[in-house]
Amino acid sequence: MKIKMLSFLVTVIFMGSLFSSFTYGNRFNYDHCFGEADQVEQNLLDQGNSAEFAYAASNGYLDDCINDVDIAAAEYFAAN
Amino acid sequence: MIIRALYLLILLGFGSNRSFSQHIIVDYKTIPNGQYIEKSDGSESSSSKTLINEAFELVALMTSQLKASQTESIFLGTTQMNSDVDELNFKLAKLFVDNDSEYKCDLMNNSTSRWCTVFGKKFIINSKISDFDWKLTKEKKQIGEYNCYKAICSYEVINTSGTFRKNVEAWYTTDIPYRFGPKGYCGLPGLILELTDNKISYVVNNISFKKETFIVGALPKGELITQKKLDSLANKASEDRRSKFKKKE
Repeated sequence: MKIKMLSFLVTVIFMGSLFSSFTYGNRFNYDHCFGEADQVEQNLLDQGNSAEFAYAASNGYLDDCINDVDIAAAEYFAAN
Repeated sequence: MIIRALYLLILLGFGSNRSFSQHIIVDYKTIPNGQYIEKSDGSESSSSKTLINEAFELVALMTSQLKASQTESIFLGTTQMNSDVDELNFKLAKLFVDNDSEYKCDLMNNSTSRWCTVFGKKFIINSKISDFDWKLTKEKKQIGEYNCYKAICSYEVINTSGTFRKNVEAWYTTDIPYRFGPKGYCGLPGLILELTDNKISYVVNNISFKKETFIVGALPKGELITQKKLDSLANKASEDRRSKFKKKE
């Protein structure tokens, strides 16, 4: 019985850490920043803006988003 | 005789500000007209549309200034940093009104120039004032104490989404014979007190008549480029960014 409980506990802890690393792995990469920057650019182009303006705006978004990810990652690793 | 002299003195006194002014300084405020993109519809890009609309609202915080002699003008952004609003939205709002660029108009040389920073590099884009192709209308309205007339022109934007025609509406007054306005728009018979371009209105906030001579001088240094070439560089930069992102995936 004790062994069963122990193995269940180990499994739960292992799954938990796996889930945690997967979640933070996603949170601390820039993929969503690039995707959203593309959307910002496309929306501005669809409104008839110059490529120069659309690129500058999307790049402004990208810089901000990457900065946010870096800060979140730094805070997480400092706390854990 | 004394009465005549007094009358002349009063006349000169009233007129001195405008008649003897060597240059003017005009402050403009900006007003966003409605939402920039129609309300989010739950599609994939709805969060970016919301972001754009939120940034567009902050256009109302932007200010700019025109300095003009009889023959030349310079127009630039004068917006102060604002720590009460979201930094990203504020940055995008500045881009909407092109607040970091400088515009110069030179009536003698029929030229209008825009100095801007893109990709961290400084550029100058030259064009002709006559290219504005203003159509003067008889429509008029009062702005403050000035009688204003409406003039319209349009320009074409070609990008990867298609070809777009943008209309520009200007309200100018012949009461102030300085033929300039916001964002390098010039060449009308008087000062532009209100201009609407790309859903943004530039509205005069204050006019100062100055007695001192004003020389506009040259724009800051920058590489000469055309808008078409700048747009193609932006397209290339965007493709590079996209391909880097895809490689990572």
